[in-house]
Amino acid sequence: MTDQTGVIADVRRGMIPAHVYNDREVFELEKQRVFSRAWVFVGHESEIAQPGDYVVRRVLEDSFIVTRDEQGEIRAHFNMCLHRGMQVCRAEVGNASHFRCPYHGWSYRNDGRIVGLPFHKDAYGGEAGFARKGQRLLPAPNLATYNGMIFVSMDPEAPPLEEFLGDFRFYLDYYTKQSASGIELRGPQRWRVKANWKIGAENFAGDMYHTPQTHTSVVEIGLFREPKAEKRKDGATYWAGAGGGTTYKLPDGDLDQRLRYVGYPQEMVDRMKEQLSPEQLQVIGDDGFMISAASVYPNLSFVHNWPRVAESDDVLPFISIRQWQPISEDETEVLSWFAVDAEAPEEFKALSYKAYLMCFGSTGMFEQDDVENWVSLTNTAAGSMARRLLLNSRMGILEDDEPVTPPLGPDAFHGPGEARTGYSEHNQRALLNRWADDLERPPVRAATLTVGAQGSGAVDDQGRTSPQASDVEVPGEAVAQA
Amino acid sequence: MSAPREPLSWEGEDVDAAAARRAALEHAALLAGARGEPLTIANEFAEVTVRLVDTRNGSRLLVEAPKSGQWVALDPMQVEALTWQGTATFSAMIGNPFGPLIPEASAGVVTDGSVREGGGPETLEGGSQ
Repeated sequence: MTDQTGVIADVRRGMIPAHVYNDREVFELEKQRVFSRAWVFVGHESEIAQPGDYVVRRVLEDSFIVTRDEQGEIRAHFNMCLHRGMQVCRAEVGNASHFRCPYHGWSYRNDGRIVGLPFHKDAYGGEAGFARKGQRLLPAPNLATYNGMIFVSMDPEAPPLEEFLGDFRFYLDYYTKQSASGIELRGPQRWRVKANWKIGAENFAGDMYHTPQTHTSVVEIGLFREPKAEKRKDGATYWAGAGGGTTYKLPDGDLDQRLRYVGYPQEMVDRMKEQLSPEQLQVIGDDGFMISAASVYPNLSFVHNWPRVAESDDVLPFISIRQWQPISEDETEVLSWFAVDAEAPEEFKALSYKAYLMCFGSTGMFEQDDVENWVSLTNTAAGSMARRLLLNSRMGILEDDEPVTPPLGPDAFHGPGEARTGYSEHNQRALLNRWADDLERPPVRAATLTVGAQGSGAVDDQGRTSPQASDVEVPGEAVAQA
Repeated sequence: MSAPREPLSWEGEDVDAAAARRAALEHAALLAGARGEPLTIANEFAEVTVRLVDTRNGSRLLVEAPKSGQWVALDPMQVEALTWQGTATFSAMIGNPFGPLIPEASAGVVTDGSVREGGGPETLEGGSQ
């Protein structure tokens, strides 16, 4: 494989070799070094609210059954039968106490433990030949949740999720914890675009600069009143921990007035005031910034906008969670969820969903505008000329790396991390710097699991063992009928 | 000129055929007493239809799997017995497909230790106990 040292050095100084947006070797490295260790979003607890509920989600090519077992515990099982490797669950959504492989009928409890092989005694000699006890669908190496957001990591030694997210949690709360009940999700809509996965992540992380140009028509038709060129630069961008995002500057007013300005009814404002920290409320009420788009490394994004939903001038906010699921160096599967505070009034939920559909999702105007750029960029990045071009991603810093605009002080911006107003590409650079960090680190070595062996799982060369069913604490062992 | 040969058959095939005919008659008799609309419950792994069937002196719950044609008619006590089962009972049944978990010849009296006799200390899953 080609040495990527030069690419990484260029990226670190804000000059992006254009081919990284359509390069098979770079994508292979990303598979081995980014997605093999990062915490990757696979769903929200509200998508699997009841025991037996499951959704099937992927991390790259790896399919996982993300389920709530009969004990209420959330699990992610590798969706591959232990026998011949058939996908155990093929429906994307369902409810089941047990999963049964369509190929030979091996069956599993929804906590992953195997319960039956047809003709176990005749075919395997019963437990003596294939010990069911201790065998289970392979669990995701690491699983954790934050505000109901379920993440998995392919690295059993990954740092804890909260440590990975770091100070971005402060901003994640705006999207996912507007009341004690958290959010509920609809969707996802899922479609594929011929664009590299990094472009969407960068765009949502900090690209306020494209809004007045790319999304002009959205303002012209009166769907969204905010992205006017002269106003957009008054917003702040921030980067904290694993993510960063953009905000809009709000008109003068107090906290309640500003939250109502973007369309929150007073009862939701009251719940936010109970739920969010004083600093989180100060960013809105004192500093006058309202969160808009954001990205968490590597491929999860959020958006919070407040379009007009009817003939009146009234606006209403919506939240979308989206994932840029890489398919190849030039194709991305977009998963787009609608999220709303679970305690919001039903009428609000309905209108907020409408607002989301008008702006984002497969029918959304912002979405259509964005993707045209990203597909074209990816297409152009494939050729030989793109290998000669270093894209300038240095907006916001001078020749000597000094910032064009200094960071906002703690009195002007009460959130953690580094924030500043004006157009810049600090966030995109922060995102790609994390990407460069991962690309420089050797790939994660994985343990293997032996199916059907008595007792322990495999041990890798670093002494790490595969998780075994004996580690799974579930009352009521299956009755063995050998 | 030789006599026409008998077609090949498996031993016991006639017994199976007779049993299938009896089951079909029994099924038809139950269906004749069907009351109300059937309910269907399905996911990607299984599909079953459930309906109430009245007999002359009582009623049963007819549970059918359309794909296999298998069915069972449960009386109230059998259905009630489901309510004190845990997931493990169903795991054992599901893990032993194509036939009953406990041989009919045992008449439900299992003495080899594979099924715990009633009233033990094991904590039940779910339910209201």
